[in-house]
Amino acid sequence: MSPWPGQGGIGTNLEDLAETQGGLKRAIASSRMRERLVDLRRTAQEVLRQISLGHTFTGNPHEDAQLLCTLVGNPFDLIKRPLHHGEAVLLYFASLVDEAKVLSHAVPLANEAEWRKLSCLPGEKSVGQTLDHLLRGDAVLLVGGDATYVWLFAFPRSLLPKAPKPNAERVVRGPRLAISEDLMESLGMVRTRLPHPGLRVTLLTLGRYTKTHTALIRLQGVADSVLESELLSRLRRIDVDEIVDTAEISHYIADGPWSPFPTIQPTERLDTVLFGVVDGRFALLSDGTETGLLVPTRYADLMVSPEDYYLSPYMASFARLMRYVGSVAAITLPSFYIGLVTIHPELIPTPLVLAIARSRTGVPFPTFLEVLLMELTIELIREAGLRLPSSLSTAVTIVGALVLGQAVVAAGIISAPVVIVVAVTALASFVMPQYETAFTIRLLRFPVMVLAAVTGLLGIFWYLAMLLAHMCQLRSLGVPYLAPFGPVRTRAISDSFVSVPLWRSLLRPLFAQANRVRRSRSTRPLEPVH
Amino acid sequence: MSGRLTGVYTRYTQVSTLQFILVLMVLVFPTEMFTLPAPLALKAGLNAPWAVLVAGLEALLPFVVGLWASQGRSAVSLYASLRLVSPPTALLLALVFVGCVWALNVLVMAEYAEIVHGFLLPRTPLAIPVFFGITLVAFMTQSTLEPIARMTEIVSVIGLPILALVFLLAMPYMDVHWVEPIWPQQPGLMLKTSILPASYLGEVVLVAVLGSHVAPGTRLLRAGIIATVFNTVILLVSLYLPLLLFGPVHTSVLSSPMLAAVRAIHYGYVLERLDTVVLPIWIVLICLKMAIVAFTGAEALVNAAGHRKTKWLPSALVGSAGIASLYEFQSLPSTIHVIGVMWSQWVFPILVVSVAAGGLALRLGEARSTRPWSTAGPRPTP
Repeated sequence: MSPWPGQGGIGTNLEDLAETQGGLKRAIASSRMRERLVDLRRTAQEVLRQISLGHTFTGNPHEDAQLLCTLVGNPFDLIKRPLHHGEAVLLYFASLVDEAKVLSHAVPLANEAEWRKLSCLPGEKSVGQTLDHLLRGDAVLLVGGDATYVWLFAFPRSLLPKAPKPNAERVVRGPRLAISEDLMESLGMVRTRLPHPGLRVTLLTLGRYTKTHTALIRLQGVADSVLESELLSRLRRIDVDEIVDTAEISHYIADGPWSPFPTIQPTERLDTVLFGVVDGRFALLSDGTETGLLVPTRYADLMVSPEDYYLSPYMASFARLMRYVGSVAAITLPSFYIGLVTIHPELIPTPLVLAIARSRTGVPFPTFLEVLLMELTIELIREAGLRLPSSLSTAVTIVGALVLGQAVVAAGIISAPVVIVVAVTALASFVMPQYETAFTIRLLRFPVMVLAAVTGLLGIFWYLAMLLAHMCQLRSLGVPYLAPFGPVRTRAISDSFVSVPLWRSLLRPLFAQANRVRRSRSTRPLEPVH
Repeated sequence: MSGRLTGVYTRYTQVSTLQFILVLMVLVFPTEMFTLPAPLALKAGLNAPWAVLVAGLEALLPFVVGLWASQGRSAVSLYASLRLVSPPTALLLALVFVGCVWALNVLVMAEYAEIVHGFLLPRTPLAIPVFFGITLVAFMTQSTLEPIARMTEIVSVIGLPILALVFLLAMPYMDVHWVEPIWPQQPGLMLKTSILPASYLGEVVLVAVLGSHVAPGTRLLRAGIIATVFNTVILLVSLYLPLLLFGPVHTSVLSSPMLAAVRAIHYGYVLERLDTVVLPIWIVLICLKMAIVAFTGAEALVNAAGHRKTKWLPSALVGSAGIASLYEFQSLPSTIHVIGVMWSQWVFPILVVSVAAGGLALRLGEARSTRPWSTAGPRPTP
């Protein structure tokens, strides 16, 4: 109905205007207002938490146990066990504590003398101190009416020594700890390395038949609440027969499901998970798999190895630049060779074009076919190397690379420059820290080879522009995939394309809306005084 | 508008100030840098740089017209506002606007295909580069303006330093005697010549529609002035580079003086063909320009018709423009001449007048309304 009598036309149009012009603005404004309210609530909770930490206990074990549970966000792995007819409460993290020992040693204890004998740290403790011990893996016994109200028992679960080693993401410097196939162990490892009450864990059961336990891990106060609710809603929408691996989850929650680029970062490294969570990202760990997921993921995240933070900024920056160069080279090098030799030989410097012409004498195949054959051969060798036992794969790789390469050139089937180009391309694809990214780049190489053979450099540029346009349209959990390059965030670029000293990297990524300050400015090392 | 957005997707939907400046720049400099130096040198000789400076000032007028038409505020589109006053007028003026931007895309596509054909693929049929151009632009315009602006940001960050690098690398080849005397000799000729570059620099008039995607609170006038200043500087660089290398006479007869200047740079066997570095970036930039223009046209039509989504409309606009551009080809110099004449004497004036007429109709409609209301904000209550 028209808001103005007698001016139905304009009234109707105004409604349209509100839809077309104001609608989006209002949607954004209300969304931002909602975000601010959520952030405000989180801040208030944090203030209350800080107040609670400094306080002493009330003396009622049930109330105090509930307070401790609330302070850590009621995670599913926090066990609260009433003892002695409700006069005492035992609290512990099942992921950090050896539960069998707790049940066999701590639970049967009945009086103060026995508790004192087994307790690791008798004495008065505040809520904050107790919480700290709880998060470090101690079992907490709260006994009502007792002079020493809080008893702590150390029954640590042996996690880190038997943790698996990462296979696909190896580093020279830094920790060599991988996520375990057992969710509790993985969670325990995360909790051991991140004993902060803000660490929040939500358990989800995915798969109608498999009932796979999956934990969503994030750091409260750092991770964005809007992203969290979006991720949770995507996870809760999953209604399938089976979830065997986290890779399957990524199929259901990833943005751009038809995109060749991974918008969710898989990782098997514990330190990558920790870096991600502290940066405001969300980690997903599942039972029965050694691969976790990190969201949101930008392209820049896929080019970062955790090792970058353990090396000097110069070394790390060089390594990152090599990865970016390598990713472009791995896609375009064979196609540039095809395009230049086939369609634009005038662009090659004269001595080089003569050398290529000489080496091609007697080769029966056109350049495109030559490169394609060699690329396919390399892919075969790579795939064979992956499937074979490690002792055999080395031999296969050497046979493939040296013997086959040498033989095809000597037989005059393939020219030597093609072997060089294909070898350099293969090496370039190995510099990617992520297996999925490397695989994507391998796949993207083939269409551009066809385009280069047909339309030369124009086809290559067109293809690269299409990829760039696609990546600009891509988002990961709503975050632009090419951030911080587009939209440009100059401060964030310092920790993406190059690596800066850690004290210089002050802020978290843009998507970590709350608590963006990562480090204090005072952490800068002091200059020598002369 | 791109329809209802919810949750995390309400973020990063509006173009930032930096992105807007770069969008306005990309709207102008990819065509001006390759197309204008030769006709400017032909018409004004050594007065050409002065004509460019004057054109820079003149180009602010179309921008101000576009801004005035869209009520000088960000997040407001002329045709969405105009639809309130009179839907038929909005539709009619939007059709004129779309016709003009479609013609602009025809001319730009013709220039792009001619340069690719002339410098990269001389034996390939022209339809091939046109096909690549259409598909790339259609792909770019799949979503809203913001991803296009994002891409503009990335490509500009790479492209503009390369332009500066080319100028620096060309310095040893330059002969400053070519541009003496440095003061304008014929002010009348200079002013007459300035109309051509002003029509190119004045393409920023599209702000009348583009402004609706800019974050509220952005100072559009300041952004427009910055973009025009940078566009003028880029045009000056593109003009001075061939002038200093070849002189005004030689420059005036070259089909694309800027590319010829880039080709003239040699550094041993390492940098023999610098145009292979410049051309790919230029191809992406000109496709971005076509995407922005097509998106603007589609947006105007959609706003005037009262719909929200542009959907396939930008692709259809650019596809038909690409096919029409196939009939423009003669040879690179004649195509560039035709583009200059058609754009500066016909299409551009009609575009500016139609935008101004839209602004006027909007003001008249507001004045005739019995109640004070704003076309910019949310729906007013009676």
